[in-house]
Amino acid sequence: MATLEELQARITRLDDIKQIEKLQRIYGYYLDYFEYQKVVDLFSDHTESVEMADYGVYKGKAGVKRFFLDLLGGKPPRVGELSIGMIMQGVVDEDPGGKTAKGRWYCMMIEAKPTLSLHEGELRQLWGNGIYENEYVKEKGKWLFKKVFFFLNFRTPYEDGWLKVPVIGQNGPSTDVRPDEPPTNYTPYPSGVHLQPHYKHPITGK
Amino acid sequence: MDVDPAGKTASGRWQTLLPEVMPYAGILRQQWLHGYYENKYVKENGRWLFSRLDWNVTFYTTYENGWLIQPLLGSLWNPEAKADSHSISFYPYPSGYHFPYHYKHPITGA
Repeated sequence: MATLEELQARITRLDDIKQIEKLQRIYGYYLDYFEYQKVVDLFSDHTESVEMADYGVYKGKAGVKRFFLDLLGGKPPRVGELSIGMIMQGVVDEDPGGKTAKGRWYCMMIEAKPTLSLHEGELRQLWGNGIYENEYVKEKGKWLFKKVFFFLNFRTPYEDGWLKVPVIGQNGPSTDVRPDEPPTNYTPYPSGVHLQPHYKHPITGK
Repeated sequence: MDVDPAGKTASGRWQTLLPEVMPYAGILRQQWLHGYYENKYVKENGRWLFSRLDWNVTFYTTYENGWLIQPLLGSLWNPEAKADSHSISFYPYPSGYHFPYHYKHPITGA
């Protein structure tokens, strides 16, 4: 028989995981609607970094604001701009202390975006796919993002597909809203690079 | 998913991406659909049931064209189905419509 304290700890852990799953999912729904301030407000003041695809590393909460508000939200979305990210297949693991956690998620993107640069050029309809490996922190009883890392697998024109055109709209680090560091792992399809999962194999421990 | 404090009702937001083949004028047609659900649930006799199902279409397009070229493929309204009323939030892409969330922002409460 588990003690009351053990049961309380298990319920807290399960509730934490549910909160993290909700955090990650509503992050996706806010991004779908270009609601970048709401996204920023989901990050801890002690955020390590946010890094997506080939944009580079933006450090700290100040970096989170620069990335979402100044870079992505620097211009209002154009008529017809579409940016749906289906965030799926989450694997969330809480660290032993119960104060931090990690999560891996797939993201399937359904988009209509300018591809000449981030905000310029003709709108193209795109399929995209990538993997998140994120970190979370519990502050004052609420879970927040501590680190967001998004690994791009492909982003291709609807008419072409990932085999013919693995990536379109590759912007590289912005020269206007500069990252703190260059991309650490930008190796889309067909590189064959495996993004290391945060978790160990539950049976072999490797 | 959010369960209301009393534990008797709940709300959920979901999104769907549908690969379909449907007949159109007697010819099968391959199509992509996307939409968001905002649903409500109720617990009765210990079991959860739907109390409201609401699917808001983003696009409904052919495989050959895609959402940018053809956001909406015909009308989903069928007069023979005798719906009680017309749709109250039918604003497909590229309207930019934001289908409201049932939840508040967990940090700001907005």
